[in-house]
Parts: sequence; structure tokens; C-alpha cells
Amino acid sequence: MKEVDCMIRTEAFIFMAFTALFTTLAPLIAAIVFYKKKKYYLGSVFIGAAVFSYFK
Amino acid sequence: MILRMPLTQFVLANMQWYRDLAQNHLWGYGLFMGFTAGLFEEVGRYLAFFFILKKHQDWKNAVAYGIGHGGIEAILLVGLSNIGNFVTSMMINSGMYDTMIAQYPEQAREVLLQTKNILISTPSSMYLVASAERLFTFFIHMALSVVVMVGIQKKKGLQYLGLAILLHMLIDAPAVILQGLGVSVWIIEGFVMVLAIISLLYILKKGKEETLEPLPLA
Repeated sequence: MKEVDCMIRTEAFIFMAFTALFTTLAPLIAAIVFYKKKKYYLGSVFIGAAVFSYFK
Repeated sequence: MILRMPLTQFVLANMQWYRDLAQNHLWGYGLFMGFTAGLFEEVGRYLAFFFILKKHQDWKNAVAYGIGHGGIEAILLVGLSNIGNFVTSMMINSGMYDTMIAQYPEQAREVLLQTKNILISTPSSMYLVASAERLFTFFIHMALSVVVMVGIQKKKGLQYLGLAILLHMLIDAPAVILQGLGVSVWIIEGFVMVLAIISLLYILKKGKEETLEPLPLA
């Protein structure tokens, strides 16, 4: 395979870091904020996550 | 991760009809993938609401379930892979990556070189698009959870399950088909954004309805 002769750009690093942080933290923040507002059964979030992991 | 993905990647991928569908029938493939995603995820959602969350069949728990469903999808499929991409990219720019792959056998080196080339040639904005897409699908998952929950509340669980599978297919299939047709990723994301806005409006409408007039629990 021919190697691409260049480096990864700075903005790619920024966007990767942002996406990594956003996609891992935003769901947790959403779950906490929604819990504070609506006091739902906490198991619902975990069951949603578990069912996705199993059925996906 | 346990049922559908291994089924499509390891079982169906070995079947001639599936390979033929994937290579030669873009529309059929898109609809099939959308349908299987809907079937597995919505049936899982229905079973969870019906059997496990029996005492919590209401709007707020449907939304919470959607947060868990969409959230873990964002974390596992995009968050973790971007952490990996970030670390690999740092290794590439520092030269450590080349030193590392030099120690691998020829075949493995080819694969690792391909990974490097993909990371270098991917436009920077594409890494950001993944964030937006996850945000949009987050709302879609919450809305689909509310659809299934409303069905259970109305004692029409199976009809609404069928509707959720159909909606899931109609959301997923165009993304596969449009991508296959070479449509710009911005147009595809625009389509997903419109669906996310509709989803958000539906979630808020159902939340308001339940606050005004609570439905009896199933």
C-alpha cells in the first residue's frame, strides 16, 4: 500500500477531541439533568443502554 | 453488539444472497439494513418496557430509556472510536506509529497503514459531523421510545411496535441509500437533522399531553 505522506491537521485533532468528549459526556449530562427535572426511575436509562448493547 | 452486529458481520456476510444484495442492490440493501436495525432495536425496546419496566410505563421513563439507548450508542460507536483515533493520530504525527508498525508482519502492516491513510485523508470536518449526527439520533431514539411507550399505554403495543420498526427503517435506510448514491454527507446530515427536529417536537407534544391528562398505566 502506498503511504500518504503528510500529517494529521491540528483542526482534525480539535474536532476529534471535541467529538470524543461530546459523545461520551453529553449523554451522561442529559441523563443527570433530566433526572433532576423529572425524577424518573434510574433503571430506565441503564436498561435502555443494556438493551441497545444486547440487541444492536 | 451481541445480536444484530455479529449476525450481519459474521453470519450474513458469509451468505451469497447477502453479499449480492450489499454489492448490487443498493436500495434493497438499505431497506434490509434499516429493517433489521428497526426489528432488533424496537423489539428490544418493546420487551424492556413490557416486561422489565412494567411499573414505569410513562413518558419520562420512555425518554430516560431513549437517553440510555442513544447515549450508549454515542459512547460506544463514536466516543470511544474518536478517543482511539485521537491517540493513533498523535502517534502518527510523532512518528511513533511508523516505528510501531515496522515491527509487525507484512500483512498486518498493510492494514495498519490503511488505518493511517484513512486518518490522514479524512477531511477534518468529518470528525465534527459525527458529533452532530449523534446529537440528532439521540432525539430520534427518545422519540421512538415514546412511540413504543404510547402504544403500550394505549393497549396497542404490537401495532405501535410495528410502526416504530417502520419508522426506524424509514430513518436508517435513506442514510445508507443516499451514502451509496454518493450524496453529500451534509445533505444526509440535513435530512437527519429534520428528523431530529420532528422527533423533538413529538417528544415535547407527548410530554405535554401526559402532564395535562395522564394516561392509565398498562
